[in-house]
Amino acid sequence: MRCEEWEIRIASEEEGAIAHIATCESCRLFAAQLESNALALRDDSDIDFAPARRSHGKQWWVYAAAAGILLAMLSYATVANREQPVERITFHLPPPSAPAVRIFERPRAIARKATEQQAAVIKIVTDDLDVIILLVNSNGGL
Amino acid sequence: MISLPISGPLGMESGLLRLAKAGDAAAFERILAIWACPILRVCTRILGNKQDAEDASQEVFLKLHKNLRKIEESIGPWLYRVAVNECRDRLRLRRDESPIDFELVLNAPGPEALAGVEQRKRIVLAGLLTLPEKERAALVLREVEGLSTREVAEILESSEQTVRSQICIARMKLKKFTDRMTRKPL
Repeated sequence: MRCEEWEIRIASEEEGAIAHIATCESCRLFAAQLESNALALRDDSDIDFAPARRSHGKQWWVYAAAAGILLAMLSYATVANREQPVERITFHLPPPSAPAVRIFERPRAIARKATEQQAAVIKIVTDDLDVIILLVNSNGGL
Repeated sequence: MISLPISGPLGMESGLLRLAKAGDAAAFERILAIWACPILRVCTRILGNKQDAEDASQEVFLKLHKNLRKIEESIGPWLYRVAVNECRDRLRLRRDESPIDFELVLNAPGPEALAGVEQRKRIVLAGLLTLPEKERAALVLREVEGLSTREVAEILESSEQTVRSQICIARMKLKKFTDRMTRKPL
């Protein structure tokens, strides 16, 4: 059998090929070249495995878990809010200072008229110029 | 001398798969940890492109997650088959868009004084990209992943005889390519 035929057998890993390699220099060289190519293919030092090691499926796995936890938290918060009574928020402000009350004497004419009409008006002026309190008693008298 | 194939991780995860199917997150995570690198390696060798390989690899694991409950066989052959098919789809798309120019791979810029081994590796990887899809996949599974001819045949859904022939032809072509390229100054 010629070496070309043996080369096909060697490349096919057929039985008897290894025994032939031991006896034929040319076929030994051929087998060594095949082995060298195989080693080059097997050498994965050029491949960056970091993304594969890092991810381990985190694209869907971890993110799905995180999304699940987030959803659970949101659901819990929603339910909890629904069950709890609405909290009344009370602001405790300092009491307003007592307005300085000044009572104006009614002019006599008006007072007389008011008495005749049995009506009374009291005007209360506070510190705030924009606030004027009028007390009206249509029955007269205070 | 032709080396014996390295032992592949086939059949290691039947228990993990069963747990993962039952919803055990840690088991699924462990499967990913075991298979992320082999699948990325296969995709890189078949596609010859880092970014494509990472995308293909991600797609494989998305499909695993989606079809976990449907997997009846060992997880290894299933993952390899999906990876090879994913790579084939991408190669077809790429062929439509722009054919692989292996000369570009060969002449990719690199350190001026590349070591002989590194230079040879670059030639071999470029030669791999010149092989037809089926031969390339068969050779990668056999040489890189160290699977047996029977396992490769199972993954590629082909006969052992066909796979043996594909691997033989691929080795011969690759050797011719490397012979030619090592004679040609880079």
